Parts: sequence; C-alpha cells; structure tokens
Amino acid sequence: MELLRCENIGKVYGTGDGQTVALKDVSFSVEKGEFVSIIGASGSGKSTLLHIIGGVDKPTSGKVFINGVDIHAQSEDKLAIFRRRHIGLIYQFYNLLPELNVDENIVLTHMLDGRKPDRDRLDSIVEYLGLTERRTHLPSELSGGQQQRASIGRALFCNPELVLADEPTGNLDRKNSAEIVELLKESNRMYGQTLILITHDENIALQADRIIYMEDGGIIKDERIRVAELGGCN
Amino acid sequence: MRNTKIIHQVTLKHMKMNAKRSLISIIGIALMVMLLTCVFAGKDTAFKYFTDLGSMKHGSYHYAVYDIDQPMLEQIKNLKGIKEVGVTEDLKFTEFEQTGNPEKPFLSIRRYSDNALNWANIKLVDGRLPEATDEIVISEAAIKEGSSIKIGDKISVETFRRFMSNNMESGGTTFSSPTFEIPAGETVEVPDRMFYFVPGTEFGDEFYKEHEEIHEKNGFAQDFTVVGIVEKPDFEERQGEAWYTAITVFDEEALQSKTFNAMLKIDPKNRNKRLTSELSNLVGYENMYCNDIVLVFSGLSSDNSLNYTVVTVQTFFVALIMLISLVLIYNVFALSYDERVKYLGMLSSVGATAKQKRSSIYYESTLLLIPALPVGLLAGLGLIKIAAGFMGPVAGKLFNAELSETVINSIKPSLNINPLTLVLIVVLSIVTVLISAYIPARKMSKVGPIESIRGNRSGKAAKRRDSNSKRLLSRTSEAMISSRFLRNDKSKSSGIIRAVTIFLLVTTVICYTSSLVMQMVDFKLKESSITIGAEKEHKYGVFIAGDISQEDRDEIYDTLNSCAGVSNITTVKRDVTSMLISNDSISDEYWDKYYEIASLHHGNDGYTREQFDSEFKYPDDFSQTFVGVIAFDDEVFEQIAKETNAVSYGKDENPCILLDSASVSTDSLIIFGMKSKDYRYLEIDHPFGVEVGQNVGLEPMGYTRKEAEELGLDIDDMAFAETEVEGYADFKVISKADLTELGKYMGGMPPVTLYVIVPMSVADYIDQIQPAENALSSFIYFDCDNPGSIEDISAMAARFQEEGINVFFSTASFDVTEFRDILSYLIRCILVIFISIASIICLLNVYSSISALMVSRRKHFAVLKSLGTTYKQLVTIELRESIGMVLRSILIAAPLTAIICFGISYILISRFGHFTITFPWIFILILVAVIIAATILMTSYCLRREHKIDIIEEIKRESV
Repeated sequence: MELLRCENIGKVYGTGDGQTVALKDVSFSVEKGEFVSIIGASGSGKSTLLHIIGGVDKPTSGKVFINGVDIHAQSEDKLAIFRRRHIGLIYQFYNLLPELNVDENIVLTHMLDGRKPDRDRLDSIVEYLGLTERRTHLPSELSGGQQQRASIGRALFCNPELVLADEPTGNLDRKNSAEIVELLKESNRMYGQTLILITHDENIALQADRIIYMEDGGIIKDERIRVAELGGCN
Repeated sequence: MRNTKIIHQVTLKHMKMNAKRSLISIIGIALMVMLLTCVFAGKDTAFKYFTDLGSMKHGSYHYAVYDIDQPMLEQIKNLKGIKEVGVTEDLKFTEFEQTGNPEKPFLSIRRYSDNALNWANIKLVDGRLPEATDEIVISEAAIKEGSSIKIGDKISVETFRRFMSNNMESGGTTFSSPTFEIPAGETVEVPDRMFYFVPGTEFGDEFYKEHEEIHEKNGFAQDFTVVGIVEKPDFEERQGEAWYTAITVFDEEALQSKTFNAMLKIDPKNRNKRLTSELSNLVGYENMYCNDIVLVFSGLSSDNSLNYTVVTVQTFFVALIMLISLVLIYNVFALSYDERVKYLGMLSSVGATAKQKRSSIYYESTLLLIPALPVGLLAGLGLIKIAAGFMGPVAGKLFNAELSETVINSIKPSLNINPLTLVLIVVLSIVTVLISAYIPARKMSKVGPIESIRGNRSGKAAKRRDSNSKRLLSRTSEAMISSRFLRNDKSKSSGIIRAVTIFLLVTTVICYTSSLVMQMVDFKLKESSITIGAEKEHKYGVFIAGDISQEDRDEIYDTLNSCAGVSNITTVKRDVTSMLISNDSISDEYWDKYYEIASLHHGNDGYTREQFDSEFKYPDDFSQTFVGVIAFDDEVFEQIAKETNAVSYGKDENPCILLDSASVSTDSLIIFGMKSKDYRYLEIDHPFGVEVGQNVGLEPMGYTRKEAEELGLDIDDMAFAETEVEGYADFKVISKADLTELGKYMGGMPPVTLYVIVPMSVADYIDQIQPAENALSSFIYFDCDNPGSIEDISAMAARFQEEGINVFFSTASFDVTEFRDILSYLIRCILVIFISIASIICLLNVYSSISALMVSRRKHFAVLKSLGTTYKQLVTIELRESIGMVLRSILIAAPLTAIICFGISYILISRFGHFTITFPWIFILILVAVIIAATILMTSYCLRREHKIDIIEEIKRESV
C-alpha cells in the first residue's frame, strides 16, 4: 500500500546566475512500512528531498502525496498540524530544545497536538531508548548518542506513519551509530512505521529494504534489497 | 597590534550584521546624551531666561543691604563670594515745585553708583539715564499725575529730612499705615512712606491744628538737569507716599550720608553657601534683602532648601539617566554574548589575548558612542531651542503678576551653552558607556577557544530538577515550553527582566519622587495659601476690604444685579485675623509642632519646652491666638454641615465648623533674629482642642469702652478698638473638617492660621461685635458675558476707590500667579518631559531585549515549526514567557522600588519635615498595564518577523 508518492519534484535555489538546482524532476513512491535509505554524495540533493517530503521545505515544482494528501497544497498551519500527526523527523544534530529535559522533549510533538501524553507509553519508549536514568536530564547533560536517542523518541512518540531521518548517525561514533540504526530498524519493525533514512554510509544504507541513489539532484538508481516486512506490531 | 586590528574588524562586521540592534543602541545612547544635555544646558538656558526676567522685577543684583556705614561696606566687600558692590544713597527729600499732585509735593532723591544704576533695573520711558553727577531722571508717575516737568528742565535740589511734631499736651498720635506714633509734645522723624497732610483740606487743617511738619536740611544742595523719564520704580509702588522718585549718579567717594545702601553681586565661581547668614550677621536680617527670584535660578537662594531642591533634582535626574543608560548598553552586550563567544573564542584560538578581547567590547562601545554623542548633543540643544520657543508664552503666564507683557516680550530666551557644561555632558556620557561595557568586557575576556567550539552559553547550566510527571501530563505544550524557557534560559530572559525592572523602577521612582518634590515645593512655596472654591468657579470678582457702609454695600449689589449679563453672584467673607481664641482651646499637637519648629530656629542653644510655653503659649500679656473666619452663604454652610456630619444646632447658637487642618513651618513661624538652617514643614492634623458639640470662645479684637476705662486707655484715640462684647463670644462647634473633606468649597495647603467656618448670618454677628474697622472682607464672585457691564462694574470700583473706600474689581481669577508658581510649574514640566524620555529609553531597552531574545530563539522556532508547531502556538508560547518575565520583573522591581522610595522619602522628610506620602498606586497600575501591553506588542511584532525565517537554514545550524 503506497504511503508516499513524489511526483516530478524540483527545487531551485536563488535566481539568475546564482541559481542552484538542488533537485530535478524527482519521482518515486514508498510503500507503507518500507525502510528506504537514500544515499548520495554531499550536495546530491538528498537532504533537500527529505525536507520537502517532511513538509519543512517547499518544492519549486512537483508534488508530494502522503496517504494521498498533497501536503504542499495545504496552508502553513494545516501543514504544521499534518506534520506533527503523520511525520517524525530526526536530524543529524538532534535539534532537541535545550531548555526541556528528555521526557519533555520526547512528548513535545504529542503535546503540541493538544494531546495528553500517555504515561505508560512514555515509560516504555524511554526504556526502549535506554534513557531511563536520564529522563530528567537536559540535552546539554547528555552524550551525542543519548541526545540522538531522545530525538528518536520524540519522532516515535506520536507514532507517525512516516519517519524521516537525516543522517542520524552523521555525528556519532561507530558504536553509537550502530545502536541508533538498530533502534530505527526495531521501531520500523515494531511499530510498522515507514522509515526513510539519509546516509552516506553504505553499510547503514544496506540495512534498508531499498536504497535510492542520488546524484546531482536526481535519482540515478532505485534498488530493492529485500522485501519489506510490512505491518509489524503497533 | 595587528591582532587588535583584526579583532576590531571582526567587531565591526559583527555590528554590521546586527545593524538594527546597533542602531537601537545608538538611539538609546543618543537619547541619554540628549537628556543629559537637556538637564544641564536646558536648565542653564531656562534659568538664564528666568533670571533675566526676574531681574526685570527688582533688578539683577543678588542682595541689597540697607543702612550700612563705610567700615561695614569694607567688611561686606571682603566677604567670600562677593564679586561686585554698587552703592546707593538716599538723600531724602527736596521740594518739587512742578508737582501736579498736592499730596506729593516732594522728590525723593536717590544717588546710584554706576554699578547700582545698571543692576537696579531702572526702565527708561523717555530720554536717557544720567551719566554725569548733575543729571537726573524723574519717575513717570509725576508726569502721569500732572507734573509739568520735562526733559531738559533744570531743578534745584536742597535735601531735607521730614519730621512731625505733636503739640498736644497729652495723647499720642498714632498712624496705622505706615505704623508709627508721635507722642504728645514730641517731634519725630517720619517714615519715608509717610503721606502728606495737604494744608487747606479738611484733614490737613485738622492735623495742623495740633501738629506740624518740619523739614531739617541735611546739607546737600545741587542743580540738576532732567535727562530722562523712567518707569515708576517698584519701591515707589505703594500708594500714599508724599514723593516721586528722582535718580542721579554719583561717585562712591562723594558719599554724603553716614549710612547708605548697597547692592551686591555674587561670584558664581566662588560660591559661599554661608553668604546669606554671614551678611545677616553683619547687617542684621531686617537690613538685608535677598533677590530670591534671581538667586534661586542661580542655585544660590538665601534659602538652603531651595538650593538643595535645585541641586537634588538635577543630581537625581543625572543619576537616573545614567542608570537607565547603563542598563540599556549593558543589555546590548549581554544579549549578544552567545554570538560574541563564537568569534571571540575563535580569535582566542588564534592567539588573541584577554586584553585584546576586552578591547573588542570597548571598541564597540566607542563606535556606538561616536555617532550618538553629536546626535544626542544636537538633538538636546534642538529640543531646548524648541522648548525655549514655548518659554515666552509660559513666562508670560507665569510672570503676568510680576511683569508687564511688554517687558516679558522684550526678553527672548536664547540658548545658554557653557563650554564646561558641554564637556561635562561628554564626560558623563563616556563614563556611562564605559561603565556599562566594563562587566561584559571582563566576562568576554575570559572566553577561551573551548567555549567557541562548544558554543557554550553565557549563564551557568540550568540546575536540573526532577520533572514532576503529574505536572508534565497535566499541562499544555505551550505552558510547558514557556515555563522551561523562563526557568532554563535565564541568560536570555534576564535581559528583558532587567529592562522591564528598570522601566518599572525608574518610572515609579521618578513619579514617586516627583510627587514628593512637588509636595515639598508646594509646601515650601505655597504653604498656607488656602483658596476658596468659588474663586476658581467665577470669572470676575469685586473685593471689599474691611469696613463699608450698608448703603455702599447695597450699591455694589444693586450695580451687579442691574448689569446685563451678570450671573452666579456668590459672596464669601473672609479674614485671616478676625478673632482671638484662648491658647487653652488649641490642641497639644499644635503646640508640640510649634515647639519643634521654634527649636529648629533656636538651633543647639538648649531651648526648652518651658521657655517655649512662656514665650508662646502662656506669655504674660497675651495668651491668645488669632483665628481667621470664612463665611459662606447660609445654604452653602448648611450643605457643608450636612457633608461633614455636623451635629444639630439652633440658628441662635452661632454655629461654626472648625477647619481641622493647619500647618507650621520654619518660614511661617518667624522668630526675630533667628533663622533655621533647613526648611521644615509640619502639618497639624487637629489644631483645635475643642470637641464637636462644645462651645468655642472667640473674642473680638479691641476693648469694650468699660474694659478700656479699667485699663486707663482712651478708646476714642485708639484705632480698631471699640467692641461691644466683653470677653469671649460663644460659638457652637457643629463639626470639624479638614481640607480634603471640604474639597468642594476650599482648597490649597493647610493654612498657618486657625480658621472657623461660619454661615453668613454668623459673619454678620461677628461684624456687629467687632470694631467697625475690623469688619470681615467680602469677596463677591460673579460671571459676566457683557463687556459693557464689566466696564460699568470696573468704573464703580474706581469711583469707590477715589472716595477712599477699598473696593477693587478683578477681571481674572483671584488665583494670583507668583514667583513660587514659576518654580512649581517648571519642575512639573521638566518632570513630565523627563518621565516621557526616560520611558522611551526604557522601552527601547525592552524592545532591544525582546528583539535579541527572538533572534536568539530562531533555531528554537525552526525546530518547533519542523515539529508541527503552528504560528498561534508560537505566539502563545512567547506571550506566556513575556508575561512571565514581566511578572518576575514586578517581583524584583517591587522591593527595590520600595527600598529606594523609602530611602528618598526618609531623606526628604528628615530635611523638609513631615508630609503626607501618597504612593502613586494608580500610576503604577497604569505602568504595569503599559509594560504588559508594550511587551505583548513588541513580542508579537518581533515574533512575526522571526516567523518568516527559513526553517531549513536554521535547522542546518549545528545546534540549538
């Protein structure tokens, strides 16, 4: 079942001589529950693509459909609400709010949606992320790996259908990187969430069901490695 | 050296990148400089202008001393602070053959040294001032009253002193204005202001039957040429003198008299704060005059408290300006700490020393100061110039009782810029900027490379607290984020909290202090000036002083009633010293406070309460105190009685209401030969010792015929003597009320005199029992819209005056504006302007802080938006945070403000006496509302701007 469809996405920065084409006519779709890696060199347009899919950036041309909804056709506020309900974003530099502790950062997106966080779910996610001892710590008191776990917790707490991870291991050592990828895979399996992960580490990319190779703003190869285990437990 | 250059280049780039913030800082500093300029140069300009205007009244000298001799003059010249001396000599009188008024047959010849002539403010009407010792000018009054004298005429002067002899065998002759007595069989020199009995008139012939006027030549004789006609000098203003003024010049060496007068000018560069008392000790307090209107604007008034006020207000302004500017500039550096840490840390990693890093801050301060200084100075001078344009009309309004419109218009206010003042402004501005940059510079100098790499925050890491999960689960996301921002991001919010705190503190302190200073000025300058409500409610008035026949009184009322357009006729009777009350009927509070003031006059000479009681409360011959009477129409009185919850009374019980407000001050209680160093004003809350429902005894002044006979006095020869009531007449006290309770009917300051309020019927009774000459004065107020009627009423008053009956017509409010109002008005204007500009600086500071906070939150907003936060939610978060910061500021400002206000009031009260302190609660509530509204508006505005940020760009930044 198709969750995401990108149709002829183009993105151009600047005007005139200073114009930079970041994406050119990118089209692809992702099935629900799929784990997709996007791999490419720096400047290949993978992060731009992810941001456009996540609704934090607008395409110059083309459309993005999530569950059949053209997300960029919505107003800014509606898109914000759509984003917090359907999309989980994980960044390379975590982007946790430094004033909020681990628990608060994790439930933030959920609370922004006006919902009361479920205590048991929070406990289980914190435990699952291995942050039980760090729940009341501020981000500045955490290691990089722990911060990234908290950021994953924030992305997962709302149980979004689509999780977008922009080089989540780019700032971590090998051990932490492996743990984070494992967590994401586990969550993909456990919660049946669709996961799109950007990386330039081929070993990490190979752990996905499918790898999309990008170069100069376009897809040069879309390779399925294995059949996704669709569904999972919620 | 090179390294420092690089640091300066980076600093400059940083400023350019934050152009808006730099601009706000420049505006703030420019406003500070502008305010300092206004305080110093503005004060100089205004004071110079008012000094010039004040000089037009009595002259431009600072002191005048009378009846001094040559050795005394030498001593005066040697006093510290005396710059120049001008001498005047009163040669007494000469016959004035060309007079047009038989009641004024003399010329009063006065000789002035050149200095004195210049300072005496003699205004030419025609011709020129005397330049040679045989030239003379004559008062214009002589011409106006029919004299044939003109410029070019020669007059022969042979001066004499005036004496009068009483040829009666018994019974002295007493005069009341001027007051003096010629005992039977004696000859005495008459006061200068003594009138002249014209032979051939009824009064003259009567007088010369038993008396004689004798002229004793004093040896001065000279011929003069009249070279000019001058305006009537103010010493000739009183009516009834027998002379016109004639002024000539002379050389000090040619002094004719043993005693003479002198005018003194003080040296502003060599001030002597004790000059007044030193002069007083030398010549006697009664023989000197302080030209306060000129002195006060030089900060050299004879009254220490006025000087103290001028200096205190100025120092207070400068301190506050520097404080708010300090916070503004400090905030600019503190708020950009994070950004600076990055580049300073980077520079540190390439070898920048602590000194070089500090220089970055000082360099930035200098760059902010360079444009702000000239802009602020010019803006300040421009503002003063504009304000000076308004000074003319203001002065016209303020001085209208003192000076004519022509005189006021002849002096134009001009900028008075002293180069030293400019230097002082520049130095104060530089000092302020350097002090505010000092702490950030010290802090920044400690930034090392590691802080740059880590992107460390300025404040200490927020203290971790265990989250209360219940609380977490019960709150909204907006509440959670805003409270965490407030709690965990103190470095950012502290700028706003500081700015709001300073806004609240400074404006409240200024307002509170202004109210205290205004009270102080009012007490000091307007004490005992009680006003009647009807004065302000009516456009015109007829004033009848003292005794007038019923026939004349009826004529006045008939004229008023018959004139077209006259309406709302209201009569109030009033006199300050109508009756006498036994000192036993006055409260202990009254005597306690009088003693306190008397003790101040006595200084440290061990003045005891017993001494005071024997001198004031129970003196041997007169243990009574004057009581003033205010009478309203019976209906108005009944209304007052009702409003003051009066007890019931019968019409024949002589009801009265006691004014339960009085005051005493070092100015109002004058003890001859003594003067307290400091001013002190005390309010007396309950001056009377008589209770409501009791009778108070009031005694008319004078004696009954029987009493006089018992005392061996001839009542027929005594002025203001005969009364029909023996001892005290009883008046029933139906209520007591203070000025606040009587606000509808009376106003002003608690009076020095004790007052009783009575209905008009009781006032008539008082007039019956009083000697006729001591009748209560009547004030008949009315409105009129017919100019013809006004002319008729004015003519009626003039007719009465010609007949010697004191009936006066006033075309405007009775509220005479005097010198004291000038200072009061000036201070009010200055305070309003000061509060406004100070508020603008504080609000700029708040805006700058909010703007910086929003800029620093860009990344937060980007993250929140990427997580699905709507704009409305962002607004809610930030507004909650802003309001939280304002509330926190209130919590900080409240005790600080209370402490400062307490300190200020303590100082002022200890210096000036007890007065009611009303905390400006309403103003503070308005302030809080203003700052909340301003913060909300500024936050919304800045957030709207930040909302347009590119999420991606911000997200890409390394860390929040």
